[in-house]
Amino acid sequence: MVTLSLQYPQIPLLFLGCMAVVIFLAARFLKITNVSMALLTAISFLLVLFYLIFESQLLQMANHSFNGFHNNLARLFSSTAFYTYEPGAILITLITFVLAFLVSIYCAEYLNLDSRQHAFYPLLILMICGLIGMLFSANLMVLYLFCELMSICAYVLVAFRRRTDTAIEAGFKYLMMGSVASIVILLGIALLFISYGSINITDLRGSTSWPVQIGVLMFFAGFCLKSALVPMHTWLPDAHGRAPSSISAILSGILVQGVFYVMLKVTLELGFDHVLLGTILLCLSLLNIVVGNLMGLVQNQTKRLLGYSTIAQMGYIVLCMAVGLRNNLAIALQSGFFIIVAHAFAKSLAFLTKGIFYYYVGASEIKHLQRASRLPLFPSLAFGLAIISLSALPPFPGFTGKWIALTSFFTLTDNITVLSALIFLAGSLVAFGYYFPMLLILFSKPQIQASGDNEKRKQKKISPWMGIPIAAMVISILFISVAPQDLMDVTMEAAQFLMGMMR
Amino acid sequence: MKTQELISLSVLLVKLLPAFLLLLIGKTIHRYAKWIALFASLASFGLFIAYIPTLQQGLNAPLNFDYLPSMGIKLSLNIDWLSFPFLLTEEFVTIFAMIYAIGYIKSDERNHIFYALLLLFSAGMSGTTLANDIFLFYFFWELMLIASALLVVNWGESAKKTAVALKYFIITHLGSLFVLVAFIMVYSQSGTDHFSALWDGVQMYPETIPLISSLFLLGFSVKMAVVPFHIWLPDTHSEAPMPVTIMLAAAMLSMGTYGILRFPMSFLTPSQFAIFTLPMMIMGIVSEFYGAIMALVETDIKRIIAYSSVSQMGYILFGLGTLTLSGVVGATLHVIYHAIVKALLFCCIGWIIKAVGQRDIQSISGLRKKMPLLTACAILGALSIAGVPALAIFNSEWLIFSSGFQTPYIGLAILEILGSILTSAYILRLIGTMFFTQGDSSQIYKVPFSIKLVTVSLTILTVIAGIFPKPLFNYVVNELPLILGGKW
Repeated sequence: MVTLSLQYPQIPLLFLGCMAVVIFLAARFLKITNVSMALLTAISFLLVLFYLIFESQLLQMANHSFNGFHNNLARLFSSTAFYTYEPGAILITLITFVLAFLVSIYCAEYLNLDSRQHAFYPLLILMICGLIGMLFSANLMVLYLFCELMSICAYVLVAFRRRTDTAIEAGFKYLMMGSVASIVILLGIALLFISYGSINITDLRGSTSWPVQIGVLMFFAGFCLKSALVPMHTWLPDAHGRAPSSISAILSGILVQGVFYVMLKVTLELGFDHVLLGTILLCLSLLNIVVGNLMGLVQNQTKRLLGYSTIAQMGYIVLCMAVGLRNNLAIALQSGFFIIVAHAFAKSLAFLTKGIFYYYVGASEIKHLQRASRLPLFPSLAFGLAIISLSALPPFPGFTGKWIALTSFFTLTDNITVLSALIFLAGSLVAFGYYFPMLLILFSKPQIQASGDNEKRKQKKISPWMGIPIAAMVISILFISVAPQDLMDVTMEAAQFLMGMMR
Repeated sequence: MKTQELISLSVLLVKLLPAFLLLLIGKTIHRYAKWIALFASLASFGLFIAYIPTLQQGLNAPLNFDYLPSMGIKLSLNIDWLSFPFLLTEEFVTIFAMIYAIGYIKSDERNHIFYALLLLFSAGMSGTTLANDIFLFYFFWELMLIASALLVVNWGESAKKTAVALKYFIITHLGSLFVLVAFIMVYSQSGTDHFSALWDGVQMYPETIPLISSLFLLGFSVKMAVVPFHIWLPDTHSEAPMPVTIMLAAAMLSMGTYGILRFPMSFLTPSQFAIFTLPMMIMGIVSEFYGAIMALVETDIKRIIAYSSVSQMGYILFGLGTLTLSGVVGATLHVIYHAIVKALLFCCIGWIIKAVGQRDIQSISGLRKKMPLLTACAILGALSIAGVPALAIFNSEWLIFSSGFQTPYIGLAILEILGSILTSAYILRLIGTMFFTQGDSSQIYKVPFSIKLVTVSLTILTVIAGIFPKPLFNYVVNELPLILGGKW
């Protein structure tokens, strides 16, 4: 059982920053191969993960062997720039590092066909670094800077395959829309700074003057765009659909949700009324569910479809949070966190297996999924598992999350909540309209091949670099399905923390 | 953990484990897939039979597993008298379908997936009946749906199989969602998902009870395929390969009946449920007439039998709706008898399709002289479904008909009986055209032995079940204290 506190978030951030530079230099001057770069990246993520889990023990040990170590560290990092107790952020951070670790192992094989890997891994590390910094920052300026770090890395990574027009187009679109959001956020921060004379989040409370209100609203609006809330979602299907699958897995799996969580936490902390915030988010989330699911029906590219599915799933997450905020309901917030975790694993598993299909048999459109029959059954089963978990069929985590959410909704009797619960259910029914055909195509009988095609029909083997991360994800999804109680405890702590913020 | 707790689990595991084995490493052993699957279903049936003495002594104990303690969700498996008839139906139908599949499905390299899915489908049904809590019930309910939809889409018999499977999945899943909403409402009012806790008496807001019951009824009616929720059935049943059709028609339809008995009827008192008497009886009659009339005008022989299911489910809903002792017993017996007879009829149809290679009723004629064995089986099946005494369905129909007269709605009861004339009409048309018209069907192909074996043994079972209804009746009557609390 992990305790959800992190005393020095600076340490992993510093370490990751250094590793980005080290890997870049090593790749540039020592000409190390893709596999070693990927391994270095994976090891640095793993070390940070260990640090996160064992921080208190490590600090104790260090204090034991070097007297006064703890005090020196405290003096060194005595800024107010970071939160130290932040269960929600830690939950998201842990998942981020698990995903990032698995993705970087996966890239050891997946990126073999690309060039410029020396740019890829440092950017990946810096993007993760930006996300983590954002999650913990207690200072609006630091928050903004980390947000920009994350966003810029994400723009470049989306356009990583620069030989294809579509990737450049998607990256450019993401860049333009993201920059608008950044400017609006910066303006909001400036307004807050003018009114209060401070940018420490904890100092900024209590004023109801109009610049403050507008500042908070601008901050909110900017982050709504970055977390792809309809009608500001248009960049997401392009960006997630065109980026390399390994990047889409992180972008779709946890990045958007992380940004949303930061927005939620900071706006609450800035004194936004939680009932009003909940109501606005409720409307946006219903739009997300409707638009995401309906647009998912008309897609023919697998990754774009998964992008729209992310929009719909964001809708479910935001809806849970909104109901929790409106009604002071911890269990709804908890279900929001639960769905974040469930979705993170399922969606990144879907993207990674999609990457396998693309890498080995060139499947990019939905109808190409049939070619998966040339591969071993394992990736198809993994993709099926991810889709089934996303479409909330029992006993997988997606269903457990929805069950908790809906049961908490039905304990309330106000019409708006019940209506939104019905839209929730209707959305998940519509979602079958696009999830199920994918499964059908994936598992349907292959066409009878022309004779002389025998060499092609020969089965391909899947590289263990790709197989192992996928197996790990499958195992973690199955583990959460069998024993969801641990996750319930962790998410409860995060939900209680958010409850404490609703003053 | 006691032995009797483990049996309910092992009934499931002997199907689930071979299914996963076949899915994962089936490629290397696909030649033996059918034998593994057959053996698994036989073992499951054997374990289930071994459980009967325990059940008779009242020693059955649920197997519990704390799943989400903080939410009060506890997974639990149990066999009781209410699930017994449905589990029995499902288990023997699986065995017959497996043997039938050995002759019917051509061996190829994807065999192992077919048998794995068939096992999963069967495990979904046994799990649904074995589940002793809402969460697990819903899980197996959906497993049943997914496995059968994948079977239809992969081994469907015409070009439109994908569309048919999608239609089947979406409509049936819509029904499942109704059930899910009802589950969630029950759960959020009671705070537990365990059946026994629910039966000990749940305090629910009285104003939500009609809503919850109607959600349950709607959801389970979709699975039962009563009019107007039947639209998935004719397509799916005629599209699926014959072994899957047998499982769908003979076993899966009864799961809807089980749901209605298990949920709204068990944990509501008869007085709370009484407002649904008239709607259920009327829906039953509409379904009975509609299915029979459609069966009269269809020309595809497989669709005729499919529509006959819609009609027969009407009888069951009518029997349940009367809320009388003989109605409920009759409906449950009808589930078992209908399973035997419908499996028999589909086996005969499969035999004909294999032998003649045609599905259109106009192009099949004069089979009587060429296939005497088949003729005998088909005639016995047809007489049985038409409700001729001393054959299986007569006993349950008698109970259902008589239950109608115990309600104030005598008119409906008379309509119900009149409707059975239509049943005789469509089945006689089918039999008459195919067997007793003059003409020579062209070539007769050879039919695998396993198909003949299953058909003949089902015919024998039909006769035996009709002549000796007593043992089954005694088992079925045991469920009543569970539903009625000894009140009706």
